[in-house]
Amino acid sequence: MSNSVGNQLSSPSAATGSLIRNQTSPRTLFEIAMTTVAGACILITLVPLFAVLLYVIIKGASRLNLDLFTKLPPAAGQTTGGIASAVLGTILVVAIAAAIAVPVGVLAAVYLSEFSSPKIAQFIRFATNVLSGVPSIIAGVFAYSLIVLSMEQFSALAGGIALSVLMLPTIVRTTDEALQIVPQDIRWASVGVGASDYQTVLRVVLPAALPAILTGVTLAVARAAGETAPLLFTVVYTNSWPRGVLSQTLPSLSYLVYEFARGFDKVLQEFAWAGSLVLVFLVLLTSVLARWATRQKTY
Amino acid sequence: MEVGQKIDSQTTETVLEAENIDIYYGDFKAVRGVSLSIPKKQVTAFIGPSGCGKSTILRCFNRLNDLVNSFRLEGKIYYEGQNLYAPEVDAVEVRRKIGMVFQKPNPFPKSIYDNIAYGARVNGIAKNKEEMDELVERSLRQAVLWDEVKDKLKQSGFALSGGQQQRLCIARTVAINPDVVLMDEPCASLDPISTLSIEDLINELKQNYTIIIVTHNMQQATRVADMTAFYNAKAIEGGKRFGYLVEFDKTETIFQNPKEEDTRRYVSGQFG
Repeated sequence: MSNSVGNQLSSPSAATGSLIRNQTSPRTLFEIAMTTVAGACILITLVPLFAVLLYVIIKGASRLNLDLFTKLPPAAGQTTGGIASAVLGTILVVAIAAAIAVPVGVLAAVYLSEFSSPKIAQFIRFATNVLSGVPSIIAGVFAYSLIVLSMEQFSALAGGIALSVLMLPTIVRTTDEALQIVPQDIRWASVGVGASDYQTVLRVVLPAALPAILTGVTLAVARAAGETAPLLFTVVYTNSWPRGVLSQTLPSLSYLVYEFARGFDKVLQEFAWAGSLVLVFLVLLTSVLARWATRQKTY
Repeated sequence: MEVGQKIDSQTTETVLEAENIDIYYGDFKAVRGVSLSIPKKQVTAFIGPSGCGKSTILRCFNRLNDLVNSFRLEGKIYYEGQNLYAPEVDAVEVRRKIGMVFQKPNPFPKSIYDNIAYGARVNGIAKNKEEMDELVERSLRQAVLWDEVKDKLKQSGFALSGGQQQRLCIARTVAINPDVVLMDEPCASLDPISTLSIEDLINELKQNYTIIIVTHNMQQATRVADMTAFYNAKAIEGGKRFGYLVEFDKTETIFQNPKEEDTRRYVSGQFG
């Protein structure tokens, strides 16, 4: 690396004792070399991101039309269809997960930030960090042994519970951080006019922290929408429409991509790409929404 | 409900009485042996150098220190004869009767209207929209803010200037019609003109409320206070300091003819 940098530097060395930069001194060469290395690392980081986006767009665009969002996947031998059922299924299972994880996560964070003693808070924060590092397949196995085996059936509910386990740490952590940004002042002000602890939390602190909490929730939703592993253990994939919370079968985008992409059917592989494209843009869209929500922050 | 309808006598009746209170933070006894009686419908000022515990003591009067984890109080504080720190006393009810204005203006991130209405809502004071509108207007008038904000009640409280925000906070406090208003250096972050307007307001408010004000500014104490308590801090080994009450008397006495040497030196600007 330093060789190639050295080659670029054929400029004459500056007079000693002057203030002009000496282009060939070891220190200047080191600076240039380090800048080049750091710049190269940025490129290496960005290449996969844009490569993935570009590849998914190129491969998936051929099936990007109205049918994609209105029709069921093609049956064997057919060449047209869509992934509407999978989009709906993903929305359903993520909604179940959010319905569980958002209230639990937000209230847990409220306890953590507002009411727990510093020692307990430290432990819970550590525990949520560990939970956020748990591989998603473990969440699937957990939901399988706890819900599927005890209910003796696969279900969208079990899938939602598995995803909610993955969403929880993100929601708890971002809400916790959001609550801590709210100045102590306004808690005292609220308590000072005779509000109880929970009146203070629900009417003053949570509303003030809402934009940041929304960010955490959307990020968690985005992550859950793309997960496949937890669904492997909790639902039976189908191409047909989702049939409710307790149905054994459930279509979903991530599973559809997995199913179609590993097969040999060229048509289905095209739909796998289209599914990837929709999934990537769903995630992108939620991230943008999250950004937009934090832009309007209170403090 | 109507302010000014209280049927109390004008005499120097005692509202709050601290009886030999010690304040601990963890194991450290930060304030020692404070006893004093706060007279009704008068302004009592707490003065003293930094670290003498005057704000800490103030916050004991409405149990706001309960929010500090390591805080503990020994001794008794009586409000109208009831011990505020008795186990059966509800701190929320205490704060409803004894309101607080803070050092830094701290409006809620809500509209001007909702800043005032909040206290009434959580306490279930106003029954309907008209009563609430009336309460908001009356409170803002009491804080001499109504004329400045009557056309922008829906705007955020943050949009006001520092002095206006502090008057908004005072309006918020009087909106729940407390008996006592505690003020913790309410002018510390304000410019001189806003400070004067707050002082005028304090003189207005004492017709209806008992006021205790902590201030760093001795001139302010002479301008607004009927009674003045001088606290001092004493250094002990380990670099720690504790606060104690030196002298409590009529403001004139404290500033012109104090009994204690420390008080004389402090009010004449020799330390602190």
